[in-house]
Amino acid sequence: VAQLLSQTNTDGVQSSLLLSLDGALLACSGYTADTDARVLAAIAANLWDTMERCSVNGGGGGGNSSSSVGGPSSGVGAGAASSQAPAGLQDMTVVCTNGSLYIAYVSSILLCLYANATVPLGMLRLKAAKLADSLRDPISQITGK
Amino acid sequence: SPIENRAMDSLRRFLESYLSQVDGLSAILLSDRDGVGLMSAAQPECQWAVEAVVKRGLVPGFCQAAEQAGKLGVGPASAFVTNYGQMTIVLLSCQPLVVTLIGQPDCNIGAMTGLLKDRAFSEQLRRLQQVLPQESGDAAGGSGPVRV
Repeated sequence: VAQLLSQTNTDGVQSSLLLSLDGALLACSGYTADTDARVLAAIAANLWDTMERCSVNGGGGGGNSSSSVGGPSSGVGAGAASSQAPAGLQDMTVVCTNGSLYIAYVSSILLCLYANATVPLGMLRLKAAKLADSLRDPISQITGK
Repeated sequence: SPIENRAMDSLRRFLESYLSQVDGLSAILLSDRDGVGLMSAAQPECQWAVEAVVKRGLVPGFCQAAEQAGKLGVGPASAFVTNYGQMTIVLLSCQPLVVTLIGQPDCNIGAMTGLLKDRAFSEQLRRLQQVLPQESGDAAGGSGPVRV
């Protein structure tokens, strides 16, 4: 998995991670220190959870289930965040002054790409999409989702 | 007063002009960091999305998440691009304002994130920023242009 993740770590993409919905690091590439990867995984999961809770067309499946507005409900009730597929948030990009973070939901886990300021957002999303396509089936077989 | 009403109408029409300029853009919401709406413009069939954004507290959530993102070590977060399946929402931090752009799934995200580089749009925002109280100790975002 790390080898597959490392294929996107070119031209400004500094690291790629797989993490669970509750922030546990599953695999990473591009980090020399484990602690940095774990910190990034925790922050990414927190960002995802925060925005997913505010989903405007369902969602709320990551924790507190509140009524959705104007769209299909996420259905399944509250419980362990890692066992539910969010009906709302599909992916998100965080644009910072000196870098970007892209987080996407792939078969019940999160894919996170971390890039510096030189990477265009479109390229970051494209790399993540290709990586997600490669990972989707194997992850589905493992998780059973 | 009539003068204030005319000014508000003028601002709304100004925002509505961007709905046809940016491909796939359905609604624009200007609010403070607590999510209290200042002005909005929306396609008639997308007014529900603006109400949903306000009701679900997306803007305060964005501000909270942006503060967390500041801990990544790559500077303050200036924008979020979120894909909720049925719609794409871009949130731009323009302290003390937040600009929420609601678009179709296939909207032009580049144009939306680059809206702050539009001279007329940024000028209107600057006028609003001047009349709103600045918030202190806020780690999320800045008033500079969004990097694309």
